[in-house]
Amino acid sequence: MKVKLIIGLTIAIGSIILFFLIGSGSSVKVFYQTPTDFVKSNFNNGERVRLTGKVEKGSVIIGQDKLDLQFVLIDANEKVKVHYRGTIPEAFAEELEVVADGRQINNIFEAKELIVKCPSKYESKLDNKEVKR
Amino acid sequence: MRIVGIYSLYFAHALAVWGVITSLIAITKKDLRGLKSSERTLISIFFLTTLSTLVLIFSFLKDDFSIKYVYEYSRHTQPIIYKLTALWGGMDGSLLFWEWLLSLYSVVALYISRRKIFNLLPFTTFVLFLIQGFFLFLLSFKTNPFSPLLNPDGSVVPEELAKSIDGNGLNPLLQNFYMAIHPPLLYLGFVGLSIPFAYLISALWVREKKPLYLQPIRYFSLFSWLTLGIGIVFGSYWAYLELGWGGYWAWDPVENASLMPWLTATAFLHSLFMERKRRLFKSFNFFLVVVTFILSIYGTYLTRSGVLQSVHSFGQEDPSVPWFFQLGNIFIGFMLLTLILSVVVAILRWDILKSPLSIESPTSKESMVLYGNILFVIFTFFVFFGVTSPIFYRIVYGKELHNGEEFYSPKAIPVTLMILLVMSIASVAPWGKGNKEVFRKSLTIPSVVGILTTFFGLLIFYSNHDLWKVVIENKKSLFYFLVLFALSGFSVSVIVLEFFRGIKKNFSKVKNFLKALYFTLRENPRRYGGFTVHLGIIIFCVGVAFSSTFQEKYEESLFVGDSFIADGVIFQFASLDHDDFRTDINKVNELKIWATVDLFKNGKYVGTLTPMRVHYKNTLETNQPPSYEVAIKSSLLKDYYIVLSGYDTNEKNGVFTLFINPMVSWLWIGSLVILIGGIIAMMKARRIE
Repeated sequence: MKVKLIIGLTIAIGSIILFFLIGSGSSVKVFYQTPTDFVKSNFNNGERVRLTGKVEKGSVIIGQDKLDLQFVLIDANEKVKVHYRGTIPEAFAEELEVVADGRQINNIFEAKELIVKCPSKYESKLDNKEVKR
Repeated sequence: MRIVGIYSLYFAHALAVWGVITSLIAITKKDLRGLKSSERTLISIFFLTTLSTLVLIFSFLKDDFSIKYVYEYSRHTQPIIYKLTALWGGMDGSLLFWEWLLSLYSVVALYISRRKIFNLLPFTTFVLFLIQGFFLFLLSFKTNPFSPLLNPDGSVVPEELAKSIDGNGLNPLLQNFYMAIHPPLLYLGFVGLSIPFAYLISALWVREKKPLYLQPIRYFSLFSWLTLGIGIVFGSYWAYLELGWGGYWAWDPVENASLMPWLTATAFLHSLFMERKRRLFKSFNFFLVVVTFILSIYGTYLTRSGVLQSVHSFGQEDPSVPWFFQLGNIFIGFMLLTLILSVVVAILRWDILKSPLSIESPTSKESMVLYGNILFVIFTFFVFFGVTSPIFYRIVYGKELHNGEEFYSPKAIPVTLMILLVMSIASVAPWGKGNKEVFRKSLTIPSVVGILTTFFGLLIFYSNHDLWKVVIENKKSLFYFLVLFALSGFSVSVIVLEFFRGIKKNFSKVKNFLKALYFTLRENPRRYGGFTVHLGIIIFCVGVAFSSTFQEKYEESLFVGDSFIADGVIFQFASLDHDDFRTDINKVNELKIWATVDLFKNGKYVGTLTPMRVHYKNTLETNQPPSYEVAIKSSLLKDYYIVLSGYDTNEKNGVFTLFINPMVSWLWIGSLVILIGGIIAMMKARRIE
């Protein structure tokens, strides 16, 4: 009886873990990169990446239907041209830190998702700028 | 005023340290005086933290901007309700509120144990003093909510000058009813989970033989589990209403931080049930309660330190602060301390914990709970892994890893389905060895129903072109849906049958359906409360499955008078209006811009949606675009969720994003059912003649 029980429990727990492993499949790792890293790594060989940087001043072109956006993402050394089609995020503006999720296609970074790093859900913006702790 | 707040915190902190000493005396010397002193200290801390919380609330109501925290999260014209909720609008106030709740819980726990489980008292107060001491330390020296407002050069802004300025105002995203009450609910859950931890570790320490202490543990756990759950749901509901991206869950670290302790608390509730009934899983139980407690601290830490890259960026650490005084490291230190304390107690009391695994059959109820709990732990583990692995990647490879939906969902779906499977069978599985014949018989009807719902679901998919297109493209999701249908049919029929049996028995006595239902619940609230929670879980999961798989998105740029068609409905952009932009923002709380969209179906008017954009003082001053106020037309089958993504008031142009979210309302309904079930389960059983 004891042996049967142990075998039963092992099979049950084993199948839990097995099913879990099969179900999880192979997950591709996505990294954050700065424009400098991105250019250095040969545009990440066209693989998906989350590009983080600042929106260059004067680089923003918004399409007529307000659903099309082109801008240049910069850091201290490099620039990457980004294209995005879709609803432009609420807080998007020049000189703000943004995250563009996508990949390099034909000399332009095609962003599928655009996230503006808002100062915070909790911390107010003035906090960082004017008043020092 | 400020001084009263500060000093009551300092004093409370000193008392907590004193409490640690007196409770240690009470433990080692078995001295009643030590215990008496601990009790009084615990109560005094409660009064002191209450005082300092009241001072902070009062400062908000009085617009006392000489306090930095008040300046940052309030302003003159902020509605009173948001002046009150600004208390937990930022970190310092949140931690004060956390500590206040813990001191309240502690007094309640003290009151309960004084009467029923006297033996546990010294060690329980010791643990509570440790936790409170930690938070009071933070509040006194690290995140003091009463810090004065400083000039850019670091000098204190004089109080006279502070009277003439206006505050910064609460983040507009937080000016929403659900967000206002979401943090306190989460905290009620987080904080409440420390009481079962304190009780259980004390019971282990004093080698308590009588299982009497399990009852208060159950009440505290169930209550915390419920409030934490509602808190999470309110948070998602808020995200759904306020963030304008059409979803309710993003696997964001902040969300995960609250999900993890909820998962382990769920497991804990189940194994607690086994310990009460069968004296099983003592060590597993202890493991779960420790993990749950540490995760709730970890959750507080994650949301409040700068370790993770996230959409909600966190408070940044000042690099000039020495490493051991950085907020994150203080938290890590405390978590390690808790872990060490737990491990030491576990080793010293191993003779009690190592109850033999006396499970009699792999298909018994006990085994099912064991499988379920292993699944909950696996679930928690990979969420933990997902949240934490970016930190390791940064340290080891110097790379910033992103774990998004595509990391979590492929793991969460199979694990959730397996939890549902175990949950379904557990309801009918027999205790111990049980009667195999009866077990098999009780599986028949639910299995038939399960097969029928699977075919029925398949038929619905097949007959609906849009749905079929989606699932045929992704065979895995079709498979998952079929499993979900089968399990839902099985589970729901098990629950319905159980209710039917109970009601039938009582109906023969009272001849009134509602009365019979009431008596059934009253006689065995735990059992039927549990079934109700399980029913809610199924409804919830079906909602999640449909809404996450079949969402549709439309983006349209329209001029007033234009229209577009989606899902057979005409959306007509009727008008674009706005408040007078010349209004001084210092006199009002908000300025609105809103679009009126009329909906027509089959030529008939069916409703109007008015998505809005709202300017607050801080969005205007920092040149940010106005906040979203989405408009939703909700029904059982689908939500029309419309966002005014862009607008031009001169040209009368509006950019709309329409999401068609199927069955999102099932999530909210399922949650409500879970809540009702939880409340039922907390009732006292009563024999009814």
